[in-house]
Amino acid sequence: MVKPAVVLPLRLASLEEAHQPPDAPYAWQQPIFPLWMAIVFPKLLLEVFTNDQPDNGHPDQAAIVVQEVKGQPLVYAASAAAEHFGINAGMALGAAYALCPHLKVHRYDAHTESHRLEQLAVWAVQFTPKVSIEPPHALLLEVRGSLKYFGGLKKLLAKISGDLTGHWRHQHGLAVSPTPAASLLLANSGKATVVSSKEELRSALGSLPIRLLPINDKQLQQLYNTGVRVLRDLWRLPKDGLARRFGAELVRYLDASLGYFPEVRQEFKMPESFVARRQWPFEISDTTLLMNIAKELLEEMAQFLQSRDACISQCEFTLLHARAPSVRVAVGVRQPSRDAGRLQQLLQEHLDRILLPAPVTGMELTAADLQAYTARSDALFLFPSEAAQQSTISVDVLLERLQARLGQEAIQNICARSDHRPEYAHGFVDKTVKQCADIIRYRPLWLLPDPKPLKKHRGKLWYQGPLSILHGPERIESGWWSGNDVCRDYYIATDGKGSRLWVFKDLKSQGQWFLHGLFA
Amino acid sequence: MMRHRYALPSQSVGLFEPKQNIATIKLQTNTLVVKTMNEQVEKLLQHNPAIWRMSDFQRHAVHGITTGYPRLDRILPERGWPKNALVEIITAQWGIGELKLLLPLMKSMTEQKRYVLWVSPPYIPYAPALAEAGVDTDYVIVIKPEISCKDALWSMEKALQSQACGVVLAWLNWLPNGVVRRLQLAAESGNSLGVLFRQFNHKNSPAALRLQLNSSLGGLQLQVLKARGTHRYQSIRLDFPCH
Repeated sequence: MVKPAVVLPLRLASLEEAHQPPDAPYAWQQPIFPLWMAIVFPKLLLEVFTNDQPDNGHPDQAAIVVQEVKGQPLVYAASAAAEHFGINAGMALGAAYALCPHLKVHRYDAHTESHRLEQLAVWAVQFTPKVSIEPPHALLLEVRGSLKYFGGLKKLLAKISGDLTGHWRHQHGLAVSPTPAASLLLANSGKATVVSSKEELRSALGSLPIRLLPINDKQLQQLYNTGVRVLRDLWRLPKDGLARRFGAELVRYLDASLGYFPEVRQEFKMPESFVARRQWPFEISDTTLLMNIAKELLEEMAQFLQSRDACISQCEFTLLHARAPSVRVAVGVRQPSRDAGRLQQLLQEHLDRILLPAPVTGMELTAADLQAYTARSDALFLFPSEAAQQSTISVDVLLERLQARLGQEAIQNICARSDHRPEYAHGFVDKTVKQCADIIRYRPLWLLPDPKPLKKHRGKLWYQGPLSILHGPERIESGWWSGNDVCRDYYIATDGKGSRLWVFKDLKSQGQWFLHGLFA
Repeated sequence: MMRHRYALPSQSVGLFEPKQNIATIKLQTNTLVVKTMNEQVEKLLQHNPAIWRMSDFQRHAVHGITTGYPRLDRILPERGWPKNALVEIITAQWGIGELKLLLPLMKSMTEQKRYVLWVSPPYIPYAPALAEAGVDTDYVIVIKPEISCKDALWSMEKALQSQACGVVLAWLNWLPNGVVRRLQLAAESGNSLGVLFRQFNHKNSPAALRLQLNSSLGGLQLQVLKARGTHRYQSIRLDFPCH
């Protein structure tokens, strides 16, 4: 009687719930379009020169980068101070000098620029796996999938912008829109704009000047002459005529920027090895200063490894000298790792040990042979087996340190092997290899590296005193197949002072006696 | 006696004087001083682990790591090897049974998967003999004797500090002033056991336990030169059967 009374209200409640609209919007019900973030570095190369190389003057000094175009040196980029004097990109070098005589001039270097852009791409991979490089000085990041992780677009933008100004010290333009071309246009315009849907693209792009378009000066002039100033003017023109006069490329570009036409971007592939280099115009002979630079390099590498989700078992430092061949220092760890602090400590041991031929003017860190990273979980409660595992980790750290200072060969494991010949029944191994050996009895704890010939004194064997035999003989005759055959009679003897010795009579060399071990 | 001496001058004062006499006041202050001193000592003992009382060892029965030889355990104050300290073993010559003394310790350490580090041993530690004694050679690491004394000392100190090894054995002949103390401190801070083999006896060593070994017929004469926690330095004879 009670049962239906209980069930009925429950059913009603569940029906009511079903009729109500869900609180959270279902992401899968809406079409998901990509969201492209464009980062433009208008003065990338100039900032590389002024930020990283302290001899190149104060950042506030007027500086320009000069590129040779058809044999004529033209200004490629000008610093804020230089712009203050009226120097602009595209100006002749002579004209720039006329405006500002104490100008710092850097030569254009395409390699440096692309290298820095690649470094920035490696940095950007931490935000999204879909990064593409837009030469000469822009990056495109597809950030739709990363919004939730970073707590929304606003926080992501703040983080990226903070890193760029704080760590990299690059002036940059940021824009987010559903198409890559539109993002690049908006970022180039210098306004930090966020366009969240394709419908809003037209209004956001419409008032942008046409000089931002990837067209040559002649075409730009032609468009100007026809009265086109902004993109909106361009959209009003008939497409077929535009394609005939300015090429199909431009029309396709305009369509792509509005999302009518899909665009394919080449994804940035992380490099297979890490190389970072620092050079300075003065000489350093102090290891503490060197360690500081090495620390920077190692942290950079750790970040690279983290973004690749990799670890290394060896990296190599190259110390560059002005007037001497460079010195290589290999730092190895026993278990693959990406812990910068651990590698730094090992490098410290190496630097303490080596003698540098000359003061250092540069340092390079290379790490090839990346391995997949396997995280190790820490124990919440330390059970004996886990405590043993922890001890293995710390043993690795200790042995790395010892090896760094004493050399690779100084530290070894020992193992027993199945061989009757005493010398071959024992081995040094670099790493622990589980070997199965038969247990042999009556073996000394100390073995001499080489058997020591024993002399006879007054008819008795002599070693620190007359020897008397306690036990024996045990004949060992083996190894005839290997060329190192052994034919010996082993005895346990004692000297006058109480040491127990393992001696043998070599049956191959006219009964010469040898000392081979001590029963300690 | 004290009461009388102090009470003497005030004897003329009546017994039931309402005023307290000087002697009782003095006595009270004396007990107060003793009391506060005791409190201070207790406080010091509580806050500084480096200061200990002889009675602590008996009362708390601090248990060390068993040596594997019950007779030896009995004469050591912690009933075994100390847990975080430096042990000095003085033996005039090698090969009288000094390693055999430590085999049970090494066996139990490697069974617990803890490493045994040998720093510059005079000869090769022979793996088949260790295996026969039950020591897992996978957990035996040898630092070859070709390194300099300074490096050997450095290795031992680092190994003791790192808590990575169960026991660190070292054969060092060059031990300048203060080095033994440094090793002892490293063992204490790293909570590990270090064993130092020496051929000569030096006085005033800060090691927590010092043993002198001498060979005797078919065994080992073992004399405790110093042991933290006891002042009765006994000597025993361990029989090692000659196979």
